[in-house]
Amino acid sequence: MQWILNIIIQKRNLLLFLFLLGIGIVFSSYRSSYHQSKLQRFGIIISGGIFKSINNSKSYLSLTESNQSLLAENSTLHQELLQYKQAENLISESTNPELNNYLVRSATVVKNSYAKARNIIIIDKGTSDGILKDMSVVGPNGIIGIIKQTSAHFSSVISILYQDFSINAKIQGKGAFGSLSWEGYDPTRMVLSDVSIINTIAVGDTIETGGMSAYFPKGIPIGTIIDLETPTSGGYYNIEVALLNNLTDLKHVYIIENKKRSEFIDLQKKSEDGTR
Amino acid sequence: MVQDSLGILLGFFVAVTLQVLLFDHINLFGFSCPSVYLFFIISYRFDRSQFFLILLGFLLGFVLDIMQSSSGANTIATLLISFIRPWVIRFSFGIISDSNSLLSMKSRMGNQALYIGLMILIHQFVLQSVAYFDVTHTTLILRNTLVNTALTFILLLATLNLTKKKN
Repeated sequence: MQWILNIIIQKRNLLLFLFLLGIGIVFSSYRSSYHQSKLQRFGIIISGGIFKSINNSKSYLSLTESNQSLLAENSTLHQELLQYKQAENLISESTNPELNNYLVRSATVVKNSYAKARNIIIIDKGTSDGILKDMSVVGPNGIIGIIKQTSAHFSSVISILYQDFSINAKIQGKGAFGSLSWEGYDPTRMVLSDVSIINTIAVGDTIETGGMSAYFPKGIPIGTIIDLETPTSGGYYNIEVALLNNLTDLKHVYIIENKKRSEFIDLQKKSEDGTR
Repeated sequence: MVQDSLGILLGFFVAVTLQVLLFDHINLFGFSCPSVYLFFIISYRFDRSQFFLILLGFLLGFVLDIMQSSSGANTIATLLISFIRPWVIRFSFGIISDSNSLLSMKSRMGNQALYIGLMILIHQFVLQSVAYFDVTHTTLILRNTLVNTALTFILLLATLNLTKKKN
């Protein structure tokens, strides 16, 4: 018995290291489990609170710049709204909220990361503001990510700059669909894959959301094609896309609630069950 | 003893605060972020308990992972360098160093730079490997390791010189 105690005392540093390493590995591997959710929710509350205070002071100092950016964005939106109303004569119908499938809420970014393999953004709206998991998040110029977790007053967003995450996208004005993902190198570039070479596409074409998932509404701009390679073998293009949104400088975002999302998911589930 | 413990606690708090509020926002070249909190582990006195340092290293990484919403890479990397620190010290300074504290050491600058550089390099390599956890991203892991190591090294040497002057 004595020798066991001696070994434990002699090797206490190694034993402590192995024990804590085990905890560290478990902590890492529980990335999508209940434990991770609990820990990350706690992290969101703490870091959200701290970063909100810092952000409040920072945003006070850059009020003029923010106002100018918001004014420019508002004027573009007003202009687009008027064009739609004029073109489709929907002035009376557009005021009826029942006709709108999507509800848009604004939020302020309190923490933004873009230099890691898997980037997370924290915003200052949570369940008390009607924010729920899996809602889509867009910025002034295009998509930003999807709500991952929520606390009462904060939410974490999986940024589109997140490895292992891909988005259904299409080329504007054409029928070509593909899968958009981030390779981890540059926060301003993404890769569009699975676009068949039977489609005619060119550098400068705009990429937008495809609308084939319940996350993002169809037609939200993402970026423009800056590089295009036609492979010698295989039937798919290699496409590099420059993002329209500058994800390294985010201040305000908009959360889109798809009111018919649950209906869409139920139908999709039933269809999948039916084909088995 | 109490003063000593309070000093360590204060160092821990300052390391976490500066890293989260200041250095995490540097993002040089769009991807590089210096891990200046390593100063806490590197400057920990050589004659103090290693058992306590392993615990502190784990806690330091864990708190940073929580604050950065990351998946545990900081915890594993910081824990590992806290554990292997005695071997790195022996490799860098020989069997006996001239002082038990990096802050009052008179050894050649080369030995001190080797010690700091090795600690940062190992930490960054483990941190990036755990964060990406994919062999197809080896180039990215090596790029980030080298650039972050260089940036952290410069900042830690500057911090060390400033702290030494104060002493």
